[in-house]
Amino acid sequence: MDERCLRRRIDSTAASQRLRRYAAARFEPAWLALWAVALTARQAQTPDAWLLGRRGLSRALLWPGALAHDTLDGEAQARSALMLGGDAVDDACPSPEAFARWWLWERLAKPRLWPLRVQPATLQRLWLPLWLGYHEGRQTRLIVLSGVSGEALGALKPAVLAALRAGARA
Amino acid sequence: MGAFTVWDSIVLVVYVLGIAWVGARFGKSQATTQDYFLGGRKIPGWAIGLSVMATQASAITFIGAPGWGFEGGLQRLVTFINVPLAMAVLIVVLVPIFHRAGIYSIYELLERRFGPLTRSLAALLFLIARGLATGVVLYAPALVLSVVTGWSVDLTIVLMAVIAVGYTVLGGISAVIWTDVIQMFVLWLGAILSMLLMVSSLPGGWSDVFAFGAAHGMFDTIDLSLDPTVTYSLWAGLIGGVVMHVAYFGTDQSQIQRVLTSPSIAEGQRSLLIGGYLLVPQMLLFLFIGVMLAAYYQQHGLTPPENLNELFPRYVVEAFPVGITGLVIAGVFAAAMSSLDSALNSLSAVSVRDFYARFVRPDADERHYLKASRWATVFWGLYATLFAFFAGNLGPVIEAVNRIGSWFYGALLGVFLLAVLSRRSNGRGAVAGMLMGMAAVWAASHLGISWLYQNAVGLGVSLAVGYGVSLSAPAPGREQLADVTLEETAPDMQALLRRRSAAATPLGRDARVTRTRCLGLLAWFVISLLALGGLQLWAHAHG
Repeated sequence: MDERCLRRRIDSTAASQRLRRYAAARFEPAWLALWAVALTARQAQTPDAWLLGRRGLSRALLWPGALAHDTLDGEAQARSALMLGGDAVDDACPSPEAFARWWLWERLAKPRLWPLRVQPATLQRLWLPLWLGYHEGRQTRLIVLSGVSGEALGALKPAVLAALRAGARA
Repeated sequence: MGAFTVWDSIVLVVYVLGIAWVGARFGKSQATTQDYFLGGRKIPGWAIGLSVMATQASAITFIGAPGWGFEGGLQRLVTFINVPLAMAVLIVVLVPIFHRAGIYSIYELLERRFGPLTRSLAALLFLIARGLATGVVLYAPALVLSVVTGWSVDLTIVLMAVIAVGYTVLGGISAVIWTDVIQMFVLWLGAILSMLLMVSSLPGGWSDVFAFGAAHGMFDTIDLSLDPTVTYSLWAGLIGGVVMHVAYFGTDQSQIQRVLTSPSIAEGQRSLLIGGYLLVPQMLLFLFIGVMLAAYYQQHGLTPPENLNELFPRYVVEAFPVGITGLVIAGVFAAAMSSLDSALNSLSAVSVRDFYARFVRPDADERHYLKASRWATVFWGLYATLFAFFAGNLGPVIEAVNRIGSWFYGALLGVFLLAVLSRRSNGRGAVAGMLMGMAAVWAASHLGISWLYQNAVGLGVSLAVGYGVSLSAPAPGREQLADVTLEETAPDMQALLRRRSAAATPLGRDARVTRTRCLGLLAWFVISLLALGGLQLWAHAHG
C-alpha cells in the first residue's frame, strides 16, 4: 500500500486513558479513508488548510496548515489495524461541489475566512488514524477517537458505522 | 473630573482604533495558522472562556446591572444564580448531541428529526427573538455615548448601528479572542475602580455601604416565597431561571455557534465552563455597584436619573479621573461591538443557510451566498436599529433581553428536548408543541406570575402538547432518529459492534465516566447560594 495517511500521534496507552473517560471497555486501532482538498486564497499558493470529507458526512473536518502525512506502509500499526472505507473509492469520494458547499457553510460564520477557496485540483485520498472504543452497556456503543488529536470525533460516527457495515457485507 | 474631556475622547478613539488594529492584525495572521482554524486550541482555556463571556453579556451587564442593583439590591441575582446548573445541563446533555450531529445551525437537527417545517419555524423564532434582543444590545452602548456626549439617543443608535454593521460586513473585529479578553479586563477594571472611588467618597467607607444595604433590605437575595407572582423568589430563579439559561445558551444560534464550530466536544464544553463559574460573580459585582451607587446617591443627596440604565455611565463620567473615563467608556464600546458583531453574524448566517439557500436560491454559487449574507447583515442591522428606538421603554437592558427571550426560548427548548429525548415524538407534535408553548407564555404573561417562570411554562406546555399530539401521527422512522439516537442501536449494527468489541483489546479495569466538571459547577452553585444566604442573615442581624 503506497497511500497517504496522517501520522498517528496518540499511542495505545494515551488512547486507552482517554477512552476510559468515555466509559469504553475495549478498544482497537482503525483507519478511515477520507478525501482531502486544499484551501487557499489563490491558486498555486501553499494551502492554508485542508478540508477532509467523505460522502455521507454532514460536515467536513478542517485540517489547519500543511498535511503532516506519511505513507500507510511506513505506519507499522496500519498492518494490524482495521481499515475502514478503503474499497468503495468512487462511492465515498465527495464531488468538488460538495466540498465547495461544505466550505461555504463553514466560513459563513467566520467572515475572516471568506477569501479562502476550495482547490479541487488538490483532491487526494488520505487515511485518518482512529481509535475505536466500545462501551458495553445494555447496548454496545461505539466511541470514535481521533488518532491525531485524541479528541472524540462524534461527527465521524456515521461514516465509521457505514464503513463497518460495508466491510461486514463484503 | 466631572465631564468627558478632550483627553477622554482621545483615549476612547485610540482604544477603539487600537482594538480594531489588534483584531485586524491578529485576525490576518491567524487566518493562516492553526490557532484560528482550531478555534484557539493553543490559546489558554481561560481566554476562550472570557471571550465567550465578552460575547454573551459584558456591555449590557455593565450598563444594566447597576440599575438593577440600585433599584432592588442583590435581589435579582436569583436570575443568574442558576447559571452553573444550566451550564452543567448543557455540557452533559446538549453539547455532545449537537456536536455529534455535525451541523452548522442547530435548527438543522430539528429538520432531520421533525422535517423542514419545524426547522423553519424554529429558525424564524430565533431570527425574531435575536433580532429584537440585538436592538437592546445596540441601545446599550448608544445610551452610554449619548450620556457622554450629550447627543440624542436616537442619533447615537443610528451611529452605532452603522459602525456595528460596518464591522460585521467588513469581517468583524471580535473574532480575535484576545481583544475580547482585553475588553473584559477593562470593564472589570472600571467596575473595581468605581467601587474604590465610591467607597473613598463615603465618610464611613465600606461600613456605610453595608449599613445602607442592610437597612434597606438590599442584601435580601433569597426569597423562599412559593407565590408564583413574586418575581424574584428563589424558586422562580431556580425553576424558571435554569430553563431560561439552558434555552438561551443552548437553543440560540448566536450563543451555541461557538460550541458548534469548536473542533471537539471537550473544547465546546470547556468554552461554556468558565461562564458557568464567572457569570454569577460578575453579576454580583455589578449589582453590588448598584447598591453602592444607591448609598452614594443617598449620602450626597443626589437625584438619580429617570432612566436607571444611565446611572453607571453617568457616575463613570462624573467621578473617574481624566483618561480612565475614556478608557472605561471605550471598553463598553468595544465590548458592545463584540456582542453586536457576533449577533449580526449569526442572524445573517441563519437567514442564508436556513431560509435563502433552501427556499429562494438553492443552487446559487458560493460568491452569491456570501453577497447575500452581507445584505442579510445590513437588513438585520436595520431591524435591530428600529427596535433599539423602543428598547429604552423596556426597563433595565438585561431584563429586556431576558424578557424577549422568555417569549420564545422555553417553547423552542421543549422541541429540542423532544427531538433528543423522545423517540415517539414527530413533526406534527413538534410544531404543535412549539406554537402552544408560545401561546401558553403569552397567557402566562397576563396572569401576573413572575416573568422568570415564562420559559418554564413554555417548556412544560411544548413538551406535553408536543408529545401528546405526536401520538396522533405515526412514530418517526429509524433514519430520522439516527442523528440524535444514532443508528448504532439498530439490531444489525449491535450484532456487528458486539463482534468487534469481543475481538478488541480490553481496557484493563472498570471504566468510569468522569463528571468532575459538572460536579464542580454544582458545588459552585451550592457555595454561591450559601454565601448569599449568609450575607442575608448577616444583613438581617445588623439591619
